[in-house]
Amino acid sequence: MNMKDKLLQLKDQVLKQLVNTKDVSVLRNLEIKYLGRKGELTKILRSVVDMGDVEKKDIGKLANNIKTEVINKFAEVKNSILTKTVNQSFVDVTLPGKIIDHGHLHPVTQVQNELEDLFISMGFMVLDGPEVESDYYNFEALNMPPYHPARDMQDTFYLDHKNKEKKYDLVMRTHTSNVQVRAMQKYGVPLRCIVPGVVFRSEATDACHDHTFYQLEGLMIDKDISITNLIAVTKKVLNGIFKKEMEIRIRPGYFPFVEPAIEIDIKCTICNGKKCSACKNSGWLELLPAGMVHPNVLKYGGIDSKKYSGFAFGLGLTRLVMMKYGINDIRLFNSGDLRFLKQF
Amino acid sequence: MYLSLNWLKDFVNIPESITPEELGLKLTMHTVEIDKIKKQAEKLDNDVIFEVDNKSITNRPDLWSHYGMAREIATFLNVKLKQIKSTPLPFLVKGATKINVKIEDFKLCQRYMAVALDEIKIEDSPEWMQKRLISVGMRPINNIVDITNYVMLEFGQPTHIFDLSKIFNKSIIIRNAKNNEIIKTLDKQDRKLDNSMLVIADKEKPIAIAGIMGGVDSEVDNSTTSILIESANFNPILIRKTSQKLGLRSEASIRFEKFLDPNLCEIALVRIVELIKEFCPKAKIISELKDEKKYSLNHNIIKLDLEWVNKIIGKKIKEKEIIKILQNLGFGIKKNKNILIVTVPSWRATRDITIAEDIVEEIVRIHGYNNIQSIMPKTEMGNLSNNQEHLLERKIKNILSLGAGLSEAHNYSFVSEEQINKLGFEKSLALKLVNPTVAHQTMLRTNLFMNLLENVKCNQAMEEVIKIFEIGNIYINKPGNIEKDNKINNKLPYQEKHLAFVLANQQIKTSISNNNDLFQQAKNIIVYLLNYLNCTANFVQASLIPNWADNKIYVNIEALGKIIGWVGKLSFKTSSSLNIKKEIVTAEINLQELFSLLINQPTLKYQELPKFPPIIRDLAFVVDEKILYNDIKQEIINFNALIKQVELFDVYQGNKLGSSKKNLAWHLTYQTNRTLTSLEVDKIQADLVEQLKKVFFIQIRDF
Repeated sequence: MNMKDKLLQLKDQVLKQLVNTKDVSVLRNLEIKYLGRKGELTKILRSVVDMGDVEKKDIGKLANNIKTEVINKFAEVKNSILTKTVNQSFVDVTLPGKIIDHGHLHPVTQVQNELEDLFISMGFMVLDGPEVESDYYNFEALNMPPYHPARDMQDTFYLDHKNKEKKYDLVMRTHTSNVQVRAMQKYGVPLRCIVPGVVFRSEATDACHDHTFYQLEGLMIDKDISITNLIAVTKKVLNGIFKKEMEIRIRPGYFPFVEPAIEIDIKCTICNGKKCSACKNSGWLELLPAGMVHPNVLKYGGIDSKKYSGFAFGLGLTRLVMMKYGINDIRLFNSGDLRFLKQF
Repeated sequence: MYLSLNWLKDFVNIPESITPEELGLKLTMHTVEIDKIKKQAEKLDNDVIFEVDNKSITNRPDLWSHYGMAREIATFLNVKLKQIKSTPLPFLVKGATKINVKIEDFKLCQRYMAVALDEIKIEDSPEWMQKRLISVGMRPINNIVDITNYVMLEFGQPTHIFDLSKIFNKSIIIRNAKNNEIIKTLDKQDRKLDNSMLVIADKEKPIAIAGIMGGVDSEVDNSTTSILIESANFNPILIRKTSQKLGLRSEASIRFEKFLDPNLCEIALVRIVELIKEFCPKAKIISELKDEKKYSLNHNIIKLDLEWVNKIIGKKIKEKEIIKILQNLGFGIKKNKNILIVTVPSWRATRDITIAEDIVEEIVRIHGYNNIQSIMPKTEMGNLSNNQEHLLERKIKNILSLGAGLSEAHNYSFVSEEQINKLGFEKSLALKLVNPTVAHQTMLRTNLFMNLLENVKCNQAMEEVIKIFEIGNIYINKPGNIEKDNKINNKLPYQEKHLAFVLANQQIKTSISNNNDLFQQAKNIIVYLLNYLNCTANFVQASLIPNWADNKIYVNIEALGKIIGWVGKLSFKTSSSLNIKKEIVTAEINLQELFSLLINQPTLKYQELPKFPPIIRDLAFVVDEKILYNDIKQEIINFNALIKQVELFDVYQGNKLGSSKKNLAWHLTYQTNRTLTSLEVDKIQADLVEQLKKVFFIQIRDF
């Protein structure tokens, strides 16, 4: 058989086989058999090089045409097989996505971040302060001299360290208000800052009380700051946290470092004011003690109370987190229990 | 404190239309929070009891009584308050029994009133008084004792009644106690006193601790027939100090320490005598009235600029209303143009009300905070200094939790001495609490991972893999750099923010474990974190390995040329002493240090894209396992300036290599500002291999 017949026969053979091919792997084998590096068609094409000039031209052209035709046919068959297969096979589109493991931020951190963003958007700075604090900044500079009865309001952890007068003068800060005078001294007026952080009270623990919890202090001092401003800012913040218009009530309070002093309650988030055990049957939850900064405190901070006034508040951050997520045991926050932490 | 509605009604007409609940709410909204409202049984005259939140009235000596509360109610209801008639004391008796009262220091006792009565008959007090006392939680004892309690609850003035026959020579002296002087108080306890305390004494012995509690020796008992009534005013700070020192708080001491009105002494004394005469009609006064005093009633005068009042409140309250509120509360008012001259009544003047801001509070709370609209402040925009450290901290938390898959824990700042001992830390570096609440939290943590190990313990039964981090303060018992108070060179103890994490996995099988996978994971996390913050992490050998660590697997973390922390594996010994059943690797980083490195770092600058392509060559060789990666890497990178990057991509150790060998495989990147040729690079790499053979005795591995 001459080369030309051989080629044509090979072509028929390939095309016939291709017609019956229904499977991609069979197709692949055929491709290797004929078009592969050692394939039958490839071999012939390679042998063309050794032919005489006339033959080379004829056969070469034919061989190339056949190769093109075969390649196209392969592609066509492959396409049709693939189209059919795709159409036939069923995909369970409801199969779940694979879980990419991620860690969890502490719930207090999450709410704290939200609050910080809220205050930053209103131009407040975020400050830190020492947790082991002097009696001076924790009490005295806040208008609570030694033996002030208001010191009873906060059970205090003292550190085993005495000053020259042989008195314990270091405490675990009982509130984030310890940063008030520090901030005034460092930044002066006008001042707008918040201080989120951990505070300590030497109390026995139960589901509602822990000796360690979080507060967020707020302080704003400027010319012409009024009680209505204090109410407006705290309202904005509460609405921002709860993402709805919150009903609040304001009543007098007492803290020596503010005058007047107020307590801002929110309508109980559990019973919506219908009175339940969470709100001690009052329908209201105590959340935000606040007031106008006492002139004595401004004085300690080096600020002229004739020219400037300001407000301060101490948001119960841990309490807020409990309300937000319905957490009923405060001790979980510091338990390190992953069953708790991984829920957030 | 408990308030009886019936009792309040003695002084103020509360309209029938106001229910007790409404009254309680009004008290909460205008004066002080009412915690609870309780209806009493019929046998207690269907009284209603209000429970007051004591913590909110530490500034209000006048509110520790029914009359004081009635004044508030009369003010916010705008109804009349029954005035107390201050009848002049008709006590001067001719030929009277002589009693002596001497105050040694008027600073400690500014007023002491006393009077003696005879023909007293001790019996039960009348039913109406017993009912009232029971209603507000006080146990009736006998007519005389009940009267003192009753008057204290009525007007807020504690008094004391002695058995006159038990006072030596009917003379009393108010003096400092002597050191180690002992008195048996009414609660039958022996109290050892010191000279900072004040006692009421006769010539022989102390008969009462002033303002706190009487002594048993002078107690009124069933056989008492003559008495001495004391109505006095003691220094509040002295009372508070003494009461704290003795650990003895009484109904009297909690009132005295609030700065009582010295005028009350008289009102209370008149009332007591009145009640005694009512209960023991035969009783008669047998002494002249003693009234030793040295005080100036500081009737504060405060000028109130009404314009300023409106500015601070942020709302205009009518002048008429302001005057009405203040007058109802007992303030004297004179007007001078737009200024009110306000005289503070004696019961508010001892300390409570001293400045104009205090008066603003009176006005606004009675007016009602909820009647004030809210207006956002108008201020100038200022220079915002954002807290970069705080932003970094937030970023780090996000990288660790959302990127590296760790969960954030919060732990107490406290640890136990046992924890410190077991991990072999220096105990003297830890600050100690004077008054811990529980035995396992007595010291302050000097690092964070101590408590993270406790977290592993609490989770190990439930969780197979544990990955936790915490950011928080550590505290060291030596001076730090934060100012302590207003004195120069006083510093607070050292405290700084740290980051720590623990990784825990599977059970520990043997004491010697070669598994350093967790160690590698921990390092991966550190590299990931620092890369994210645009700096590279190196691990450098530590010269000192702490006791708790596996001494082979512990290394320091270096960033930007500074050691910022460490990562290490817990030794088997430590794990078992702590009852930890898992393999643990832990790391701790000084965040303060890292913050300052990062903040001082120049901002990231764009690098122009390379014009000439790099050539990358792989290099693998076997070397003794003790030769450190850091050293080899340094050698390679320093070998030729064309070597721009050196990356280790595989470490292999196995029997095939022979013992104590490791195979290291590297990508070397050659690059410069011209086209490099293969030949050139091949030559450098061949020279490098020769150099490494010489320095580290490497063998090129035949694959």
